[in-house]
Amino acid sequence: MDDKTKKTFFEKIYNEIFPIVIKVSYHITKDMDAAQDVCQDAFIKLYHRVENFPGVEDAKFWLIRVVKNLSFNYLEHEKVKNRAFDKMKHIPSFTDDTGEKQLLKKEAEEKVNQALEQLPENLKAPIILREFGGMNYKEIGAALGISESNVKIRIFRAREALGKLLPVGEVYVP
Amino acid sequence: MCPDVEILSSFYDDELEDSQRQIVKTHVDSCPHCQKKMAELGLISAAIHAEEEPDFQMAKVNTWNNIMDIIDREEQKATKVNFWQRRFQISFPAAAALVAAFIAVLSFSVITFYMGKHTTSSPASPELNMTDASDTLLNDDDNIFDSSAIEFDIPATISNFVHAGEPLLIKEVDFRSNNGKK
Repeated sequence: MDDKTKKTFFEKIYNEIFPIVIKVSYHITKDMDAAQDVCQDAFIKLYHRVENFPGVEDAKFWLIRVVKNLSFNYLEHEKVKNRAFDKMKHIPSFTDDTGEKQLLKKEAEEKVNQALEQLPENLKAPIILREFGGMNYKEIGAALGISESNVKIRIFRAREALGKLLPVGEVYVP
Repeated sequence: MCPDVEILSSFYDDELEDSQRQIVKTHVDSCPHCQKKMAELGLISAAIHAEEEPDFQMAKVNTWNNIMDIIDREEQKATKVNFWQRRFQISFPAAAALVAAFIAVLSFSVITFYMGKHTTSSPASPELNMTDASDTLLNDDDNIFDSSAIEFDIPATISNFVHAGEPLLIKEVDFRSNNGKK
């Protein structure tokens, strides 16, 4: 594969996969800068071995796995780093926005984030890939290296856990 | 009988096989309990998606530019080769000329080396009796390069000079003046 073909193929993968992986990484890390860094690192890794992938689909599954791992690594690193500040982090801050709707929305976002945060990695990854990556069970299985039936169970368990953590009716849905 | 929530979850994601999907759909359409469960699944999904998302399009452009910058820098670094690792090209005629010149210099130095060895083998000191040695050299061709075959006759004493560690000429003058005084 010459340099020009390599760059064209890489650009094609980037355009197709970036919108998925950035969402996945953002919803795991909850930090846009971190998500961008994670995606950047993953794509640079991909560029160095892009000729090993026969098609966009293979590169997609590989990338999703790498992005997922890097995002969880980041999260773990941040958790250790911020353990001392955890209490401060959860003190509600006063904002200028006093609109009831905005307040409810913020509260709901906070609850959803907390609920997602409490999910273990093996449940969080499939539900994020399903909800934000728009991937079907087969694709999720290929990306995470698990069977389709395993994906089905994990997604169901994630929903079950979220249902308990987010009592439906209490959470504001716009 | 109501289907398991796990099946409803798959039904919600449209992941059931055609035959199963039809059965579940018929049931859910007529079962208020399953309809409630389906609504709950919908609410969970809506709650997850309720959060306002950042500008991913902007991130796509920025990240692409960053990646290209990094790759370009890496490629530039890779092409910059250390002086001692650099490859150089030389044309065939130039290489042949170099080899020929090297051979010429080598053969010239070998010839001069052996010729020099022949000429330096006859010492020029007048005090040494060389007649026997040169005869041996001329007569014995086999021992031409054998230095042990050369014999020198070094006289035990040199007349008129006294060895006293001083220049001999001055010593002789001193000797004469001393004689005169006497």
